[in-house]
Amino acid sequence: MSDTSGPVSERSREFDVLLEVVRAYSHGIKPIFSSEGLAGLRWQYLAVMAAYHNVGVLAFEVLTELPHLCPADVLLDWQLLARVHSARVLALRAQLRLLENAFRQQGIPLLVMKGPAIARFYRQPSLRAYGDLDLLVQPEDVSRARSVLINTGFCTTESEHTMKSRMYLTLASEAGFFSKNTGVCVDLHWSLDYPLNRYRHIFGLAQKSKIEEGLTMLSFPVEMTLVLYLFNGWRDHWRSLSLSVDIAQILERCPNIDWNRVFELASELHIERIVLLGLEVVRRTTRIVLPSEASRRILQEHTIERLASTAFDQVALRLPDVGLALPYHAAISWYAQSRDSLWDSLSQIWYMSCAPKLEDWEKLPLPSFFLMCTWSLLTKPFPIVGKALARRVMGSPRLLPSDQACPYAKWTVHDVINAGNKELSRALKVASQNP
Amino acid sequence: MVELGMNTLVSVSEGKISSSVAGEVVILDLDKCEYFGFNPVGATVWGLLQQPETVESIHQALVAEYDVDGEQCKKDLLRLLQDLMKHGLVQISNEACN
Repeated sequence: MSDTSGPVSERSREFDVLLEVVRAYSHGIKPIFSSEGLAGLRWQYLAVMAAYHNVGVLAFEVLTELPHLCPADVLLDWQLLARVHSARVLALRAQLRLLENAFRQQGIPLLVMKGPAIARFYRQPSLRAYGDLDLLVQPEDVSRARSVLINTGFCTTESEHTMKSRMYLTLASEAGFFSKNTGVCVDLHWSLDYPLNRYRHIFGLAQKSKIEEGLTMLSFPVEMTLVLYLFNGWRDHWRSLSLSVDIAQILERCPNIDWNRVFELASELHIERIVLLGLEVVRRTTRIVLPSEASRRILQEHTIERLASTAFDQVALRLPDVGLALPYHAAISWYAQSRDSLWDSLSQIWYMSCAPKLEDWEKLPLPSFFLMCTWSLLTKPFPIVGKALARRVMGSPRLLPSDQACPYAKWTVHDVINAGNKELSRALKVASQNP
Repeated sequence: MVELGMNTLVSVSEGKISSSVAGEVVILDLDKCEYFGFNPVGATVWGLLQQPETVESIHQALVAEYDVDGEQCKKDLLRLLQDLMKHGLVQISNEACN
C-alpha cells in the first residue's frame, strides 16, 4: 500500500502543514517544522482551513507548542476562537447533563451518540468540536422523550400527534429540537440511518459508559462506534480531516478492539467495503498503523486503494470556498463502487442521481410522489424517503427554518455576542480579561 | 470568609465542568450558569484542585514549575483561592487540617 498519494504539487502548503499538525496530534507528538519551511505561509488561510476541517482548536493546541514559528497575531485570533469553542462545548455538556437527569427521572433509556460519545476517546476531549447533541431513544419512548424535551425548554415543529404515529416512527428516524434559551440543538433519534437501521433492537448493543467525569450514560461499544463512524465518514466522503482524527483517536486509545466483531458487524450491515475503505483513508491521512487483519483485508479488496486515493486527493484539494473538486458523476461512481453488492451500488446511483431533496418531495405531483416512494422502498428506504412519505401523509409541518435551526452552527465571536446569550457573552468577557 | 492556611485541604466544588485548550481553562458553574476563564497559571492551579490538596502542596508545585519568588507565589495563591471560594468554585475539603 502506498503511503500518501495524490498530486502533491496541486495541494496548498497550508493543507500540508495542517496535515502534519493532524498527524502529530494523532501520534501524540510535536510536529517538526523549520522557520524556512513555514516562510510565506498564509497563516490566516491555514486557520480558516483548519476551521473548515473542524480541527481548528486541535490545530491551535498543537501550534501553541511552537510559538516561535507561529505569528503572535494569528495565535491571538485563534486563542479567542478557542475560548468561544470551550464555552460552546461546555454549554452542550451542561445541557447533556440536564437531559440525562430529566430522562433518567422519567425512566426513559437515553443513548448519546456523536460529539460527546466520540470526544471521550480523545486524549484531550475538549479538543473535539461539536455543535449539537444527538440522542437515541427506543421507538416506544419517542412520545415521552418529546414531552421531556418540551418540558426542558426545547421546541420542535413535529406535533405530538405526528410523533405518536406508527408510520412516522417507522419511516422517519429522527426529529430536531431547539432550545431558544440556550441555543442548543438536539437531534432526537429513534433508529439509525440506512443501512444501519437493519438492527431492530439497537439498544441491545448499548452499554453504560463513562462519557466524562461525573456522567455515565448509555452508548455503543467501541466496535459498533467504529463501524458507525467509518460509515459516517464514508457518507461525508471523508471530506473533513476531523472524521479521520476521530477514528485515529479511537484506534489509539482502544488497543483491545475486537476486530473480528468489527468485521462481523460490517458484514451484517453489508458495509464491509465501506469500513475497509474508511480505515485506509484514515491510515493515509493520519499515518496510524492499522491492525494486521484490517491491512490484509484491504490488500485483498483491489478497489480499496484506488477509492482511498480518490478520497484522500479530494480532501487535500478541498478549498474552503469551493468544496469538493470531484465532478458529480465521479462522486456517484465513487460511492457506488464502495458498496458491497451490485444491488447496493444501483440503489446508491439512483439515490444520488434521481432522488429529490427533502424539501422537493412535497412539490412532486401525487402520482410521481408515490412512484418515487415505491421505488425507494424497493431499493431499501433511505431516511429522506421515510421522512418525506410520513410528512406527506401525516401532514406534518416542515423542519425548523434553516435560519432558526441553530444560531450557533456557524460560530463566530460576532454571533456569540450578538446572539444575546448572557452566559456565552460573559464567557468571552471573562476570558478576555484574563489573557 | 474562612481563613485559608497552608495546611488547609482544598478542592474543586461539585457542579463545575471545565474545558482546557492550549493551557487555558474555561469553567462553567452548572448551578449559576456562569463562565470563568483561567490563564495558564490559573489553569495549573485548577488542574491541581481536581483532587483535594493542601495549599502548601499546591504552592510547592507552582514554585517548582514557575520561576517565581516563594513568598510572592504564596500571597498570590492565597488571594486566588479566596477569590475562587468567593465564587463558589473551590471548597475546603477538611477544615480540621487548618
